[in-house]
Amino acid sequence: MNNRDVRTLLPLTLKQLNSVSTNGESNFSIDGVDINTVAIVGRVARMENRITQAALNVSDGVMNVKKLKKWKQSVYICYRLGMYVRLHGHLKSFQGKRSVNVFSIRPVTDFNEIVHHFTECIYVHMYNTKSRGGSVTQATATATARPQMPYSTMPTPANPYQTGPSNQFPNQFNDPMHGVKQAVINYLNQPMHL
Amino acid sequence: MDTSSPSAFVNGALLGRLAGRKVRTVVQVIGSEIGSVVGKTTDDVQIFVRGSSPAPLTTYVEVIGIAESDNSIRAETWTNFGNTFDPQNFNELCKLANGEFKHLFM
Repeated sequence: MNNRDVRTLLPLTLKQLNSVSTNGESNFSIDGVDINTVAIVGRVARMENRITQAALNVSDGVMNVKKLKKWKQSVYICYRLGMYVRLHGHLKSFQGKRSVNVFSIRPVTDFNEIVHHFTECIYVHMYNTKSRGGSVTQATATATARPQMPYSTMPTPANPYQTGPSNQFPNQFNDPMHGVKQAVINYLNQPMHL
Repeated sequence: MDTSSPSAFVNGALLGRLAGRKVRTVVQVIGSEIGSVVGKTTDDVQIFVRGSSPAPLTTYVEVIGIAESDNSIRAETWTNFGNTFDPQNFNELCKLANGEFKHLFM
């Protein structure tokens, strides 16, 4: 599957970001899902302004630092060391060094967002690994099973973003993890997180 | 800002397990004096946070530092988390981040 065909926005911890697998300089995957765009929440650890680009290092208390690039220098005027930020960007690798080309960055103003981000990282990891692993009974029951779509916060025709817990776990009665999954979904579906 | 080592999410119950290591937690400020703050963790354990805190402190404060014992932290970084922070959610995150999903964090 071409990396560009799968539009995923994956919330990741920096530990996860550092452990993604790659088969080239622009093809990354984690938990069996191609990585297109990543969402990171962390503290600004270092900032530098250069002529052609600005860079900042972000720490989420999990990994030490992660180098990021932002091509609009003026953005950095409003950011300070130690400030929590949320950023979205594309994961890149050049000569073995990984970085994120950031296209969206904003300060965190409600610190519940930090807890929400890490909880979402857990949920997405769980969704992508459990749904892809599946259960033995489900795999053998259907000869031509529909391929599982990776978790994505961007709606697609095949897998529209669901705000309710309706059919996200079709195999719930055989799934010992169902109670935990349902608790996580209920938490993320609270109005303050939508 | 010291970013040389990762910090584990902890609540009161987890703090004792990580003595000597870098931790991060959120406490509800109960009292403060010069050089230390008394706070209540998200699982209602009273702990002491040593270090020079920012002034003024909001109701909830994130502390990153070294766990000294099961009820004290030597803080390196303080961040005011405001007055509307939800401690229950953070508490549940601590359990998950130190349990089944520890591999995503440490």
